[in-house]
Amino acid sequence: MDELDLLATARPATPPTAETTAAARDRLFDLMNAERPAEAVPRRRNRLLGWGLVPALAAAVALLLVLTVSWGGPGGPGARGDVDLAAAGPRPPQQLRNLLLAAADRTSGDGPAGGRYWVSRVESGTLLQVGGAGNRYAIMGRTEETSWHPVRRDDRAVYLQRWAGGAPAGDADRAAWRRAGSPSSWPIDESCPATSGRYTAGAGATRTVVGKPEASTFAIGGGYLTAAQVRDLPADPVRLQAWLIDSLRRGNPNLTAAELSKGVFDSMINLLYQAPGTSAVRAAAYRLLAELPGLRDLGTVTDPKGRAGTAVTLVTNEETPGVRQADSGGPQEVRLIFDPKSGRPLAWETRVLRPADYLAWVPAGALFDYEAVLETRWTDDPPPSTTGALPEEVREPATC
Amino acid sequence: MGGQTISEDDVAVLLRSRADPDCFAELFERYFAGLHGYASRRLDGAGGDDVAAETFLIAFRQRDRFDPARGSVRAWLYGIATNLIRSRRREEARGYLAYARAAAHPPDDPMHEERTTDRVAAAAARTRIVAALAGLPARDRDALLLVVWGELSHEETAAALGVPVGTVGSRLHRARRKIRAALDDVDPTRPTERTARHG
Repeated sequence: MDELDLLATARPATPPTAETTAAARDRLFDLMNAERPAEAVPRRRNRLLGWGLVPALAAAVALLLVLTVSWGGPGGPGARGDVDLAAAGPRPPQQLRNLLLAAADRTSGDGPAGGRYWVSRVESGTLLQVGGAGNRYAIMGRTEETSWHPVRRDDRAVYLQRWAGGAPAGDADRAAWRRAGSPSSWPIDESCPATSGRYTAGAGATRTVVGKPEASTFAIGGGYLTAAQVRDLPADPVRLQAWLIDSLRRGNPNLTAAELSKGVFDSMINLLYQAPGTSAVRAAAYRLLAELPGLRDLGTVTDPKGRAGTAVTLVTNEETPGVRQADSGGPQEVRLIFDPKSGRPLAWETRVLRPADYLAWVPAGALFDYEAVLETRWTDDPPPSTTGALPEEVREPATC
Repeated sequence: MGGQTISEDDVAVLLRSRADPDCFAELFERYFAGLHGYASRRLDGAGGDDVAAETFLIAFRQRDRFDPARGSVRAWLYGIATNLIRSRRREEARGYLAYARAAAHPPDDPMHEERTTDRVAAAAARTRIVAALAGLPARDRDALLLVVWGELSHEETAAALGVPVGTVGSRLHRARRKIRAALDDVDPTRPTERTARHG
């Protein structure tokens, strides 16, 4: 070894921590924001008008792609490289990328999958069509669910579900509701109002549902992963995307770039909002989103629980000439809302842009459904008593 | 992160950032970790953090003055960082000496005796080299460390320092002789047959 080789390996430095990187980026962003020309602010408002206020949104969390065939955990073979997601649309604008990269640096996750249960408390809302013939209108029905997801195979999942109330969705719905005599509840099925249950304006009782003994799994990519497998997903966004594409194509080898892009986007929803996330996995999800074609920035919004956050959005299920979409309800805008300061996922929402077919009754652009994450944590505490709980596999009795 | 998916070159990003300042963040993503490594080896702890962060603030403010004809964006960023470090050269030299002192008196540990003689010798040699850095003139040290720690080519180093490539060569040559002398414990003014090599 000569002196230059010795010098090259002398006094090594450790890579910057996430905090150091975030602090340096903040200083740069403050400077960039200070220099952004004033006209850029209205430009962003225009973007909001052209996009978000024509609202959109739609349904959907269910993966549109029905995929789930053979499945291997993370660690299976790498992705085939012959589909380029970049073909699915333009790269996200830099301002949006910066927000997501900053969130990636700051997100903390739920900690390691150390506890016996991962507990999540989530409020979800969905638009429901109610009212008699000639005066149909929409209410937003809300439910709150606290879930104990077991890690061990011999523990059972426990879900506490509660109807959190319903209310006319928009101004037109409120007018129709008044015409109907301002009812405080609505039959679930108008064709047999006497025997079907009712949606109530107020909250309902909590019911407990218990699962079979098995470790909970979470839909990611084309299959389902346990909490431990989620934790072991690649922390590098390029590798994570390659892994997801491989997983999605195992279920359906013929997916187009746009379909894969949607599949990857859905996986990010599930990873951020519906699965236990370590800081590394959440950071990878935000960094992956920063590269996802077609993603748009809505700026600061308020989530369904009134919390301020940053929203990014993707239009999915768009009509393509000659192609029959799996979901005939029309194009949907999906919003992901997160706290830019902490990287904490807050809520995701859908709006139907041009409602069609089975969603034709939905007001175009109105909030169609959402999920707001209220709390997530790991615990070794036992779940609440399941005496008298409903088994998961039992369906509600048919009413009519 | 995500560098594999990026195709637009540095100069194009920088030129675009003049009209659209947000684009500048892309350069941060590409170079912060590397610059932080370079700065932190010269100024450990908060000093390296500050230099790495301030480099991007200065570069952003001066982005209209970057001239692609005079070198790469990377060389320009390392040049800014090097200027910032030079303004703290006393702190830098103190750091090398403190590092060498600490390394010369390692805490006793059972593993120590199991180390091979070669490894002990190499570690001792590195310590002496780091101590010798403190005694180099700033301009020679800058050239040496841009090449060895910054992993810049001689051409990039010349662009970073704003000097001809030949000047980089002679500064490197002088710096090498001095650290070689620290290893050999001989008179650093004695001529050496070693020739400068490409870094």
